[in-house]
Amino acid sequence: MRAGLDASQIKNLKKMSSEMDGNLFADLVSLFKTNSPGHLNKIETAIRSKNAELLGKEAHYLKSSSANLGAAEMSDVCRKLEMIAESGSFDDAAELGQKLQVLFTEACQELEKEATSAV
Amino acid sequence: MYSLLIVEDAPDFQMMIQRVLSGPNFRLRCVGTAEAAIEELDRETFDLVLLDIVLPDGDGYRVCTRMQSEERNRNTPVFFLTGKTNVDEKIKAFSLGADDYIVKPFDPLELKARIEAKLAKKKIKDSNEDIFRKGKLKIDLGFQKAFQIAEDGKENDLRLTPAEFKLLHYLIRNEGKLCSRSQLLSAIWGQEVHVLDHNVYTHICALRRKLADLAEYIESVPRLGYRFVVR
Repeated sequence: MRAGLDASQIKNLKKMSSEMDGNLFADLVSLFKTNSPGHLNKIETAIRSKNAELLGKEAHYLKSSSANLGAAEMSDVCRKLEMIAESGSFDDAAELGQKLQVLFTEACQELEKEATSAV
Repeated sequence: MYSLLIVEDAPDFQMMIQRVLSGPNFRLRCVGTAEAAIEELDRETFDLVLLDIVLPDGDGYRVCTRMQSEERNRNTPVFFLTGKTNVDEKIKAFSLGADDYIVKPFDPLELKARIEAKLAKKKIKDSNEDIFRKGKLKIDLGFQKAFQIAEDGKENDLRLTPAEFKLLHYLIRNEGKLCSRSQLLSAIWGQEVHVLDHNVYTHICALRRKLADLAEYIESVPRLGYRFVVR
């Protein structure tokens, strides 16, 4: 699976979605696509202004949301950004921020495909 | 029916929790900030609280600490639901009174199972205790008294007669279950005593009058009996 997605997490979520009301996975993907850009923008702002508190908060938020949908690589980058926020050393932050934007775009494309395919 | 307070600012996790806990067994109240959670806890006693740690206006620890300092919320189970994975955070959560610590991402069905298991144990524990709460009622088995708890926490003795108290306690012990008139007759007055079926109705009416605002806790099921439900 491309875009650093965790196939087993996606499979579990889709299976559970079909056991519940059938729409949960697609609704979660839709929410992820709508909500994440705002958090990504804040991460970019936090990196530019070296605002550790904002970076930590926003990276923490996206870390969980992306992991929930199986976007493992994206979640891992968020985890690294969270650590940067804790240490206060912004050396690799810009590079990771750019990587995060790319991973988000790729993850959305893959997740959309998953949302329309069967379990 | 159990009332749950969900303190979670992320709409995706809120959605998952609401979907998995949808149905007649749960009444959910969702808020996204620590301040809103404290307001809800001041207003109502919940059966269980799901609490995120990182919240926009502070952290879930503040809410948990506040709950532990209040008599009315001290015994409410708290499940932390968080993306924080390190052991220090877990230790802190449990030291503040957490009953469970669930790391995101989580399996919603596992979360539901954990909640149900905790609530089932709480129900048994509550029914074995001499003093317990049910919605806005406080029951004292030792003194055979029932109190209505006001918004400000004051307790108002309902001054129930022994038969009314027995009736209320029996209904609470069978919370959610339908209790027929004959069942109530034998449970309250025993099979040896000759009491008319109508007596149950009379006592239920008297009990409801004393319960006043909380009279809705006793539901009538036409031609079948009564049921205790906290909505």
